[in-house]
Amino acid sequence: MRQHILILFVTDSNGTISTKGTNAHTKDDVSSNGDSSSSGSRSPIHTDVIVRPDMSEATKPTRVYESTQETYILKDTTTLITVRCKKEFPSEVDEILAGVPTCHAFLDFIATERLRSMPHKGSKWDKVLKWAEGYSRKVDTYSHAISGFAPHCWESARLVWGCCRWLLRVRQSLIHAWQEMFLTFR
Amino acid sequence: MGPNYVEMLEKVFGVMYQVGQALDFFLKNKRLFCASVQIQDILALAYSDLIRFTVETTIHYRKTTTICLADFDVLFGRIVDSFFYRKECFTSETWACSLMEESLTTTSTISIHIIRQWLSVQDRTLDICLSNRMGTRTARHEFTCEWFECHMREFQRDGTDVLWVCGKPGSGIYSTSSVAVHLV
Repeated sequence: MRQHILILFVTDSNGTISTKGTNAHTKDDVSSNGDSSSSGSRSPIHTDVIVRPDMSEATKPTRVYESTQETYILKDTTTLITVRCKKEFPSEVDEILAGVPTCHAFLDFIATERLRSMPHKGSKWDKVLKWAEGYSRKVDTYSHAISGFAPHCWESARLVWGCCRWLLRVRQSLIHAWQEMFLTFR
Repeated sequence: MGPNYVEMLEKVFGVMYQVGQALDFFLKNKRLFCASVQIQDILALAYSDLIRFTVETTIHYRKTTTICLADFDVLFGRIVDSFFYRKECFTSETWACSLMEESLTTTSTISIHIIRQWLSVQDRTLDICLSNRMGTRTARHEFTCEWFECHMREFQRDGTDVLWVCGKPGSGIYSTSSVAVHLV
């Protein structure tokens, strides 16, 4: 994949150039969350690690790893969150949990919303829809990538898509409510 | 509520966009996903944080009748920080795996943590500014910097590796860079 490099410069009145750093450094500042290596319940499945043999001296060997165990961290989290959703949204829980079964369904919803609201290019609503679209695609790709060792990731993905749709829909319902209110009190 | 609602969605999906970029970072190292149990746990925990953030925001904004954006960082900052902490852990783990592959750890003198600390930004204030993801950055106004999008698209399409943008101080270089980041 081709790497893109974007260089931004500021020139002063003398023509001197100084760089503007936009590199996003991060820091280990969340010491309270030091449970990254904590393991949930795991079950072994297969344990072969395949090492691709050297084909030539010029080609650097690339080690290929295969999934060795399944992790149930996601399942536990999703179960807990689903229970919470059922408590918080008793009437809408089915719509959130099963309303958006795939990424395509979510993208269809975004397309419909675009047609319905026709947001101006560059407007906040246009930006929100773009971000929602990008986010759903990335969740889909990530779920594909981890599904080998986290088989319950699709339930989690459905939950994410369902919640995103709900968030975007609330705006619609509010607009309808306002319309009704304005019609009543005009 | 009015315009605040779109602003709230802009904030929520803005964070989701940043989380999505971090997912891209994970996916670039897909080859190492199964290299160790620790990496798999980190990936699962990162996904858990992602779900928690999405669901918690949904629950919160469903329950509230008045939207106050000032509360956003207080309410969800911890979950978002937790997600990005997983990214840091993932980076350390993948570095360790790569070094192991290169058989550089035989001397056992290389500490990933020390190397990363040495490479990180030394100035505390600058470090906070660069790593602040939660919205101290001023939001761009609607319909601004749109002129840059076509240049960026062209740059992504053609074969060049460097896009050179220069301007006078205060001419909006920082805003342009934030647009560029969103368009990549």
